[in-house]
Amino acid sequence: MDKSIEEIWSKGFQDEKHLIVPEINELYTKKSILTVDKLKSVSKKDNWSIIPLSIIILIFFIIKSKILFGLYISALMLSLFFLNRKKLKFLNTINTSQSCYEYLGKLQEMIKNNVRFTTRLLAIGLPFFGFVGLCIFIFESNMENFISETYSLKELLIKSVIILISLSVIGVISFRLSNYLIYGRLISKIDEMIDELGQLKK
Amino acid sequence: MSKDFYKTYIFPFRGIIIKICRAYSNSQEDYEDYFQEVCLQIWKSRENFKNKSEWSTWVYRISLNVCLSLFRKQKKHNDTYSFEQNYNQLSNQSYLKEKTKDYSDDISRLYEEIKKLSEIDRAIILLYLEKKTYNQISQIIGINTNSIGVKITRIKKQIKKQIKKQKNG
Repeated sequence: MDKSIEEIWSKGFQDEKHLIVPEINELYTKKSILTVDKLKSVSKKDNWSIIPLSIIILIFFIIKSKILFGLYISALMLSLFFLNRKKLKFLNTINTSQSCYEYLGKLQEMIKNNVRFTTRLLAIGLPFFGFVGLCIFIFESNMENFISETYSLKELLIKSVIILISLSVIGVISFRLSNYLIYGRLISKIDEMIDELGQLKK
Repeated sequence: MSKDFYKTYIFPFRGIIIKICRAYSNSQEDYEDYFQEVCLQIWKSRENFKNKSEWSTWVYRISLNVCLSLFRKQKKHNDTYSFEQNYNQLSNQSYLKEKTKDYSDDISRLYEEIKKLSEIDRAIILLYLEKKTYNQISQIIGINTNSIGVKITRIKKQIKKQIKKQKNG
């Protein structure tokens, strides 16, 4: 007579001593390597997206007859691309054969440093580069006479400061926001893993 | 995770974890990953256990949740995944050596059929075979108790029919 599925199950597993339990080792190794790989690929894609964007911007300003301004913006974006590429080289130096607690720690430190550096760059650098860009734009649009006739020096100074501060604030906020949207999950995953690894070490 | 925790809270329930991981994984590597992840999640969620149910029910719930989420993730990545091919690979490795020889082939065949079921049906039949009551199954899976009986009858019929078909064929 055919055995019922209940019988097969209970007889088949009646002695749990014979079940071979997989060894639990290097619990986080694969997870950490996957996270590092993911971070590498996302950062690479993110950085490479600057290139088409800078080309589009250049074409747009060429069409609008603002070649110098377009070139300036594109040059700034390309500098950002190369700066990022230099920084991303660090990711390749991460030795995943090391203990994952160590290299995840290094990665976390690198991310924090990067965020700090970019925030400063945007907060201080963006108004500076923005000011230069504004001057180029005004010069290229032949608006310098119109501006000097319309605004007094004091007015011009106040307006410039407001524009540049806004630029700095918008830059920092949009960086933080995009960073959160693109890398947020990965960063919190790394933080979580470090935290758990720390607990496991205890 | 301390050795004590593993010895007290995981090892005695390894049977549950192994059976569930085996039902959702399709290769030796997957099976080991699933097992590790389940153990890790049990350890991580230890503070959330409020003694409202038995520890074994808690282990079932976590094992099923983890396996289902890993299974879905993998399914997403492997759209072109070939079940037959991977199943054969898994059987050859015989990663679970149930030494009840008379029944090991039957168990393998039964697993083969369980793996052909939908994710939820797999969970239901596993819990049923583990002699969980309808109430417990409903508690673990979150399905209405009334529909569980009907589902179990249908799944059992389906499995029996397939096994019979295989034997005759």
